[in-house]
Amino acid sequence: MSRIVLADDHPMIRTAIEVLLRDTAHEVVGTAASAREALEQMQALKPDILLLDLAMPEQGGMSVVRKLKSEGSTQKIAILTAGIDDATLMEARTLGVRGMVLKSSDPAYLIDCLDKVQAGGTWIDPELAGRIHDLSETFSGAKRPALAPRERQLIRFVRQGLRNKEIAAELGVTEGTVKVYLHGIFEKLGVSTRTELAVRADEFLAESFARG
Amino acid sequence: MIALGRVLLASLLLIAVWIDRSEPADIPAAAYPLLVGYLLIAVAIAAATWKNWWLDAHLSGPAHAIDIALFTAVVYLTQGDQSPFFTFFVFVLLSAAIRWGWRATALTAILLSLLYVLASLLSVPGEDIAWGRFVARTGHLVILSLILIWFGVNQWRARLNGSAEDLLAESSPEVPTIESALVAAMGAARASSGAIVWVRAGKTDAIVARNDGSELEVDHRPAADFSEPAGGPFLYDVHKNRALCRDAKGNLKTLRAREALGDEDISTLKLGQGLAVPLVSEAGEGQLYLETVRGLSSDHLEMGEQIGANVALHMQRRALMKAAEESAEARSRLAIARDLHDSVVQFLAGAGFRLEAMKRAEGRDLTPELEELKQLMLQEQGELRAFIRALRGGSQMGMTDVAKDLQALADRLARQWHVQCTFSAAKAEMAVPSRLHLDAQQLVREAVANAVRHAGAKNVSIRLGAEQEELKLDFINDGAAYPKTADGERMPLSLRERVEAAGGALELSRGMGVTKLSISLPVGGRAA
Repeated sequence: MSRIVLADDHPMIRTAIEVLLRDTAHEVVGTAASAREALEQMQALKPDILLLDLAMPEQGGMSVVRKLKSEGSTQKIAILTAGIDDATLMEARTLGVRGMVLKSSDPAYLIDCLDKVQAGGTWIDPELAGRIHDLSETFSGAKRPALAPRERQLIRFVRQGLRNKEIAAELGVTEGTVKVYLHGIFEKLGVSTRTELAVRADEFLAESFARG
Repeated sequence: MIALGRVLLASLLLIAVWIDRSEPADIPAAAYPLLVGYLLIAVAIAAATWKNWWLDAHLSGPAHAIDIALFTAVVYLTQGDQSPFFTFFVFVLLSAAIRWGWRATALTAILLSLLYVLASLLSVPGEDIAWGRFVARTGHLVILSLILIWFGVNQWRARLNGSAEDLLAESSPEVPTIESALVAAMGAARASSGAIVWVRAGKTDAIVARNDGSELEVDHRPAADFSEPAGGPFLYDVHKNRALCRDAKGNLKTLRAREALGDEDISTLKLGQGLAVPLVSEAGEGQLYLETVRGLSSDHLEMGEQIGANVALHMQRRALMKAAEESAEARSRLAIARDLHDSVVQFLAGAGFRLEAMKRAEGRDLTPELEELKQLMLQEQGELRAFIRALRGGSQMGMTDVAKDLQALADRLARQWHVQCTFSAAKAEMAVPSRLHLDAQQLVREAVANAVRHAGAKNVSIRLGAEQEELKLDFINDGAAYPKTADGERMPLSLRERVEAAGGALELSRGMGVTKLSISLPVGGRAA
């Protein structure tokens, strides 16, 4: 029996999954409705698997993955999401997420995924596996230099539409430092404007994770 | 116009001198052939430059020199400081002001004043000069000069005011940008036909509009087929292969029309004779061609600069308006996508998991679960219908209908979250846009969910009100204070984002063991 913490902000989903897992080899030992709650539950309950939604209020599900991985957590993570962009998909794969299921897929996939992850394997939704394959092929011959984690973080901020001042506050650096970083990113990626960087952020990030 | 003025003035001077024989000693005999010769030259210039901007431009300098020389000669020959031809000075200065602006006017004024003083001193011995009149006339010269220099500075601004207003006016969004710009530019230059080639920033195709005076055709062609915009406006005559522009110093410079225009532009736009005006703005660049312009002359080069600047501004502003509209549309699409994601997609996913669970149930009585699922589906269907009704309505709905929908939603949320959820609405007469209705629904969902999740509330009171073009939503819950988010705020981020997107404001207050969240949403929506 695997112990699962379920993090999803929609009560309908939480209830439905608890019911679905009732007669299986998995038990929902805790639920969370936000990224912060998910981290608290992981700390308190030490589950085998975190079943995580990506689109949650405040910081989103990927912030939980990043935090756990940066702390060296070995707990297994499976993502359950209604949609995922290329950059997040490739980042999740790079960070070692073991399971990925789309909410729009066959509900039976979720149990297949949890079974496989619990057994130490990896289970990726067929649609997402196809996208990962295509992205890896697309970026296999890419010539752009690799991006550092801080650079990727900066690109995410630019994609969110944050101004230099706001990015500086988020990172705890000066506005001048942000400008220097951005200049370096422009040079590396061959873009000339902030708008181009924001519009193509998904492509750059996906490529960076595909190579990383 | 100046050439005709010269003919009239020369005729008038000659007739006046010929008729006024009261003081024959004042007008020496040499003045008559001089004035006759001047009249003949004036007629010749007028004839040569009639509808010919090329000769008009080329003869303007020599004609001006002749005017100055004649002024000096007649002043010298006719009593110097008391010359009856003093007023001729005004014509020379005025023509300089019309043709070349304030610099040439100032130079002409200085030259004429010096020549007047010199001719007066040379023609009359020093002791015979009427110093009082001489000083007064010199003073008049200076004052007149200053007035005409001012005229030279301001004449183009004054002349173009009307047309600039037309171009800068808010034209109807129904009229395409290119069409409205071309029609306004033609009106400003009094042209009967014209064309615009416009390449939007970052695009490879050119929008080509041509108005032959009766109908307007708009087409898209590869931008590479057309010439780059010129450095400044120029007059052109394709048949004679002549073109005329001003260089950086303002001097007239001749060009070959075919080289300046490019063969593709000439054949595609069927160019003949007219004024070409480059258009450059952040929204794109291109060239404007104005043909069949009444009284086309080198004066139109200055006018062309003004028209070009105004048309470019017009294009820029329309591009900004379009971007703002697209941005508003994109915001609206995102909001609808988020609403659908938050409701329908999640519900269907949840229902799918429930059905899968039932499929796997062995020997269990599924009736209660099926009944629960049916109720959930009916509620979701009701919300979806309200959502679609609001979208379809496309316009507005009354406060009563909004209140009815929110009441049903509050009941459902109470069951979903196992809390007491009360709803009340103040009576108000207000038309609520459908977008705002959807926002209100989603805000109620999120506010209740936040109160339960983050504050552990057991009772949530919702009140709907309206005042001064604003929809008001107040939520009072008996839970704990909201925890601080990552940026140190206690305001739930999802609510904050949604309210800001709708152009509204929210306020959080705490006291007497309850938390009050007040949201105001402008009925007019988010300001552009």
